[in-house]
Amino acid sequence: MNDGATDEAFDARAALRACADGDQSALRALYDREAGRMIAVALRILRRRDLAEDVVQDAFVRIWRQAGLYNAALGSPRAWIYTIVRNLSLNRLRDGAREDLVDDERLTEISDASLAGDDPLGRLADGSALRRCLEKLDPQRRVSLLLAYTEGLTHGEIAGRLGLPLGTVKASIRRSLLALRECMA
Amino acid sequence: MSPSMDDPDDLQALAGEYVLGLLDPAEVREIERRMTQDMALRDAVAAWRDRFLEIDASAAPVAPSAHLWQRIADEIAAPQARPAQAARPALWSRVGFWRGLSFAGAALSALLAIFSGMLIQQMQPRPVAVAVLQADDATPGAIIEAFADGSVRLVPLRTIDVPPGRALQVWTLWDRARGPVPLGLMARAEERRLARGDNLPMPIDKQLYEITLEPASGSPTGRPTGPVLYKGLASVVH
Repeated sequence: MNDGATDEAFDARAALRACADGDQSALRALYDREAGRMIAVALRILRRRDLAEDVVQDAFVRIWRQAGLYNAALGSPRAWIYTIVRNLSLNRLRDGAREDLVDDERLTEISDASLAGDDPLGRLADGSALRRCLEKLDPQRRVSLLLAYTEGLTHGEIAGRLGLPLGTVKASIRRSLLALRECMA
Repeated sequence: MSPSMDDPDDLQALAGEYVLGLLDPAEVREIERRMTQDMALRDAVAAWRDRFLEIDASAAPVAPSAHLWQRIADEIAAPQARPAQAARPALWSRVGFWRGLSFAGAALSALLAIFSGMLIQQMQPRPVAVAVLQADDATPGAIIEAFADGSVRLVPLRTIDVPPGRALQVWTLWDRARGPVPLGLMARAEERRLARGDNLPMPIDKQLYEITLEPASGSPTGRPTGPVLYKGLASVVH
């Protein structure tokens, strides 16, 4: 499993098509390529290894069953795959109360696991437009977007984390999104 | 949530918040319903997904546990999960076989059930046309048997996942001037007789049948609005 971003040789679209045709080796190829990162994405949100792996299991089953429904109008094939992981993770997070997921004892486990020192912005490629544009936002706004996307925090949780009024956070995320879009255009 | 969809900034911000995961469940359902009809919103969501993908794609991989793949393989190997092999010639007999089996499941009156099941099958009229509905990539998704009165029997060949708040709608088109005619709405793909008693015209060769994803209450316009999941042309049975 490589650590890099996109391997041009791997055609995720072809893999989805093959999955839709019932070719299990295509699902296995996707797994070999993406499962590690999918677990990492679920772990950022759920902070528990067992739950993250459950979600990734569900995600692969869903990819297998719904591969025929993938449609380029929904985004790139990898965006579709990661949307599935993120949505399943967010559902799991919001079904099982967050406090259950992050009691103190587990927080220690978590820091041992992999979250400590995770720096999603720093991991973006140097030449990345997303990175360049996120870095243009003021730090608090940048952190708000990243907390929402990577950890699945709600507006209210972000407001709590940053010690800001809810309305301020909502308005600032909205403005950040519009600025980010313009910058990346 | 009632931002005006006429304002491009509102639409972009809403799509961005959706992709960030900031909307509450009711808002998520609403936006997913709108996405089946509002192409600008769908494009905005797709663009946000692609913009943020890099954050996921650059995450440091965490090695999966040794058994994770096996758990996935076991789950997709379960009978209800396996996509139907539509190309097999034995399909029709298998459809009948599974129906028989499901009748047999009723333990108390198993014999009677099987008997009446056979009887019903014998009494059912033969279809006058058959269509295999395929996805864009030619994956077969369902079979339509069309009867003389224009009604159809839908036989799904694979699991079709329906997002919350949406439904599958079956359509047919035999006259471009009239446009697609709805045959029925289903919360999930299941074997079902549709448009019974609607007295539609006798199916013709190359008549189009399709399944689209629509709001749970059906297309609000009376025409297909959502993505076409599967479509196919009928062949008249001789």
